[in-house]
Amino acid sequence: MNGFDYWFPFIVPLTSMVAGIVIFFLKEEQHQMRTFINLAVAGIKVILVHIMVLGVYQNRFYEFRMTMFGDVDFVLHADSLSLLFVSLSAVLWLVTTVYAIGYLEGSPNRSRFFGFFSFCVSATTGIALAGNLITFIIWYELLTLSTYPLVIHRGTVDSLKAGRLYLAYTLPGGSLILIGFVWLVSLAGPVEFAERGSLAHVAAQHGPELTAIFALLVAGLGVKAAMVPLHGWLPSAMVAPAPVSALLHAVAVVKAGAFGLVRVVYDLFGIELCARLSVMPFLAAASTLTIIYGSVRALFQDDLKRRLAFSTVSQVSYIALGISILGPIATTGGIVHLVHQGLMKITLFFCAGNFAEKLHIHRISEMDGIGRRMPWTTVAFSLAALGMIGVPPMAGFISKWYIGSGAVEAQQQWVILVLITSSVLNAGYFLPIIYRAWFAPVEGRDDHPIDWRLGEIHPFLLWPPLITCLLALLAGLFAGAPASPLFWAEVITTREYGL
Amino acid sequence: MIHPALLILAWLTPLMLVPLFLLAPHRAWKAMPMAALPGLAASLLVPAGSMVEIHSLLLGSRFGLDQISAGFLFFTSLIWALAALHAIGYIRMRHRSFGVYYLLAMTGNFGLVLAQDMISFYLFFALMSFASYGLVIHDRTTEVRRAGTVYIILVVLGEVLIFSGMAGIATIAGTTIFGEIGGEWVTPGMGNVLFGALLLGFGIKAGALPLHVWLPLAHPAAPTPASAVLSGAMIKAGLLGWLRFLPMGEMALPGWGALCTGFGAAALIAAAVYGCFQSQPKALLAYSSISKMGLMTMAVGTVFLYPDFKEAILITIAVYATHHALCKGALFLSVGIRPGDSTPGPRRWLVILLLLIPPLSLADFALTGGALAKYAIKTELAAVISPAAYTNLSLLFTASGLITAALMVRFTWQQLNTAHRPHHTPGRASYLAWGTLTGVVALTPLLLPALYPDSGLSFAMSGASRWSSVWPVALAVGIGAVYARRVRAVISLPPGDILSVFLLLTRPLRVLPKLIVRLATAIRNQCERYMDLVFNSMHNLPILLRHSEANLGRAAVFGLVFLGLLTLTTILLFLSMGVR
Repeated sequence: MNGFDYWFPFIVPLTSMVAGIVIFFLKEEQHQMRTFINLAVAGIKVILVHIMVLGVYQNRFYEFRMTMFGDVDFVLHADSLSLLFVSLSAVLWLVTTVYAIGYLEGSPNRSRFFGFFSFCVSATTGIALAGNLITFIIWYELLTLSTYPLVIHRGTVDSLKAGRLYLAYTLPGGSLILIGFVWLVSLAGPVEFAERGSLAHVAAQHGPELTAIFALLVAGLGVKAAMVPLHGWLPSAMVAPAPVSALLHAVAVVKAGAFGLVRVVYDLFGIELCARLSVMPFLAAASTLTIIYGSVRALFQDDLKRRLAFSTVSQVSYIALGISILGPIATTGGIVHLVHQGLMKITLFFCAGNFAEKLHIHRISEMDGIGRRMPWTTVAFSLAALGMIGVPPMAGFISKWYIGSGAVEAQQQWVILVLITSSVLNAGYFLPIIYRAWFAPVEGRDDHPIDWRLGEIHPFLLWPPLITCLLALLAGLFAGAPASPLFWAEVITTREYGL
Repeated sequence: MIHPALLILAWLTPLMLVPLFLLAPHRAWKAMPMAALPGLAASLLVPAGSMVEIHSLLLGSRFGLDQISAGFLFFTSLIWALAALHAIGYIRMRHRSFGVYYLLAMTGNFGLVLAQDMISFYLFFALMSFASYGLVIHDRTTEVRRAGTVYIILVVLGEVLIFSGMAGIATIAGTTIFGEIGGEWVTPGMGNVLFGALLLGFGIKAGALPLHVWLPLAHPAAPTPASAVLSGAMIKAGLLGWLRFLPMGEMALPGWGALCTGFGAAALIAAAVYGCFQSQPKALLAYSSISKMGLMTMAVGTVFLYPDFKEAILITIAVYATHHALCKGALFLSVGIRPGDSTPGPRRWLVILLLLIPPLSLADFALTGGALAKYAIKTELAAVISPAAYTNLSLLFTASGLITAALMVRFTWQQLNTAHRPHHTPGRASYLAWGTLTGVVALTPLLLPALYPDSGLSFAMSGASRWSSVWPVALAVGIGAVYARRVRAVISLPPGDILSVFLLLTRPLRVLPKLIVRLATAIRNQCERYMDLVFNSMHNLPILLRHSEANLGRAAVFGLVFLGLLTLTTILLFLSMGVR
């Protein structure tokens, strides 16, 4: 085995970990040094991930293995699914770092912030690359612990309360997964994630136990994936600074939960076992409930970030819905939504942060005519919002299309009803914002030509949403192109279904 | 090489002009009519049957032309070009954003005509529908905003209906390419649901009967050039959607056919009658559009009833749609043009003459394109349906002809006699645009046979049924003259017809969200109160314990409690042993 290929999956999470440690030791005023380390490491990581993507596409084998205790190994392994998530987090981390540098300029405790920020990304990468359940759990818990300081970063009463709530939800969630793991090991020995599942050898005699384990794992992961009724922490966590919200909602935390679901369903249990245990209807019901409930709650929020938070609750469950249908097309839709939702939601949170930062606007009722004052930010916001509704050519349409036609293929036409209800609700809470931003009457400024010179806010805050919005547009518009997220999701599906 | 490029440039050119609006708005404003020229060129130069594929766009896009869509592209691009020219002369275009929305909607409209697969069609359809919102609410008054809201709600509804139909068909048929879909997907049950979703989804855009309510509100609300493209070109996108997605000629669908012909006939008559009572000229024209679209809905229904005659009926629909689009475009552009504005003499007479052409053509007067289109549709239906049904149909046509003539008399009357000055005064470019489009309308008896060689029409046919195409107009003019002289008070009904009824009926439902919120808040408050109680008691626990400890320290209390507990335990112990 090539030594480089062996260490590679270990190095990728390690880079951000080391960066985090170094940043902790920097003095608060070493602003340029910190910025340099942040951006350099984020850039290096994107390059490393790119190399690994090319390698995996050519069927190279990257695995890092180390015995922890007994016959339980610590395994980091790069396969097509993990690389989808790693690429998403690497690219969005780079963008979010730029945004966070601009956003937190001049505010206190930046070394602490960026240190934990790096840990958080390191943990996300680890989750993506984890080759078995225990490795997954280790990183998963690390993620919980490293996001807590970010949520309470501001130190206000509200944020401390939100932080407590966050821990109160996620720590028990983590322990459910741990219990599930221990039970599973006692049943089936040290199993690893493998394409099309790795529990076939115990499937025959342990049906009910496996169902219970599945329930434990899904409940534990459902906390982070914000599935109703385990979603309570997410809307209150929106008191965190905008870059943190962006990261929580789009890349790290909720995505870790959703990604975990994908892993458990496809690579631990495998589709055949899932079908045999007939657990999928329950997952489908839970995600349907979440999709509808989240959207209905979002309708009634006036606080912009709260509305976006409930929208996340709803949208992330598209992923769970897609995988619960158990057909190749819907699977592609669910997996690709992992990326698409990330791109669109991070754009929305960046924009919300910009409105708050520049104009101190937090409520939707204050957003009248905002498009004339911050045109580019509002353009990015509007496009991302249309994507959330599922209007082509934004990426959200592609996900919706695949989940919808996948449902018809699997003879589960009711899913279409869920999708269109959700679309209508999404339109119900996003279109009024767009209306206010561009068309609502404002006194005085109505006849002013809009200033399109990109000077509405600091470039570090303006470019990240523009870039992510552009990515969300391109991901949808050129979905048929090789190297699009859809293309990669199809590669994954092909391998999972052994097509 | 030029042909595939034209198929792309047709929709790409208006899109490329959008950024120019941000850099040099004035230049972009002037260039707007040019943006439609590649589309016009494509419709005339690209041979039918051309196709170009872009694999990486969406899920693999195809663009192409056949005889019908070439005709659609011709009138669409012509109307968009001339309406843009009209917009240049239309002063008080307050928001420059108008140009951006106009170009985006234009991109959408051209793209959907050219699209040869479902997903591209849907993309451009959505682009057109959402961008048009910006056109509809250009004037930003309260009334206009209301119209915009009705419009956007129906757009969203249409989008999800089409999405669900489309996702179903694509999966069952296993393809998204038009022409390969076939009709096997129309199974009893699911297939009918999908069929219904598409029929309704595109019916919203086409202004089909119970879904037409946005149209008489939105078309008058928009500025004149936007109304022209809405009512002339964009409304046909709904029709094209039907032709593209629904199984035309694949099989007989008697139920759906009867439904379409029934609702179409109802729209044909009812909308025209209701339109006669409109005081706003644009609302009147909108109702006339609904009426004419009703006729096209009937023709679509006929294809479902008699699939064997698909080719002939489709060509007829295209002929009819082309004439209606050009004519309606010219009528909308003429709103605001008054003969009184021009100097007396030959110039004024020219204006009056030009003002008369589109109404006459729409009322199917002899030697106009309208007469030709009506002749085409009538002879085609006569060939298809039974003689008895044809008698009824003739009656329907006569009635509709008469009402349309009355509608046009009222419109022209308002046009020639309007006393109040509308605040939009058309400029030179507007006159040019309107004059050109009117000229094209006058030429339609020659144009239609040239555009659709397969239809077998010729100019002579526009004068074929001379008497029957003259007397309704004459009668309507006569009635109008009498009416105008004798009756001073004119009845006018609000545009939007059944929408008001619908809103009235659903008014009680509108308190529902508020009720839900109130209920939810009440529940949450109650929960929070309990939570607070629990938290407070936990918070107070140490104090409580300290106090009770202090009390316990007092010997008497301690002794009593201790003795009491001891006794209780003993009794319990004995009891439980006894039970055993």
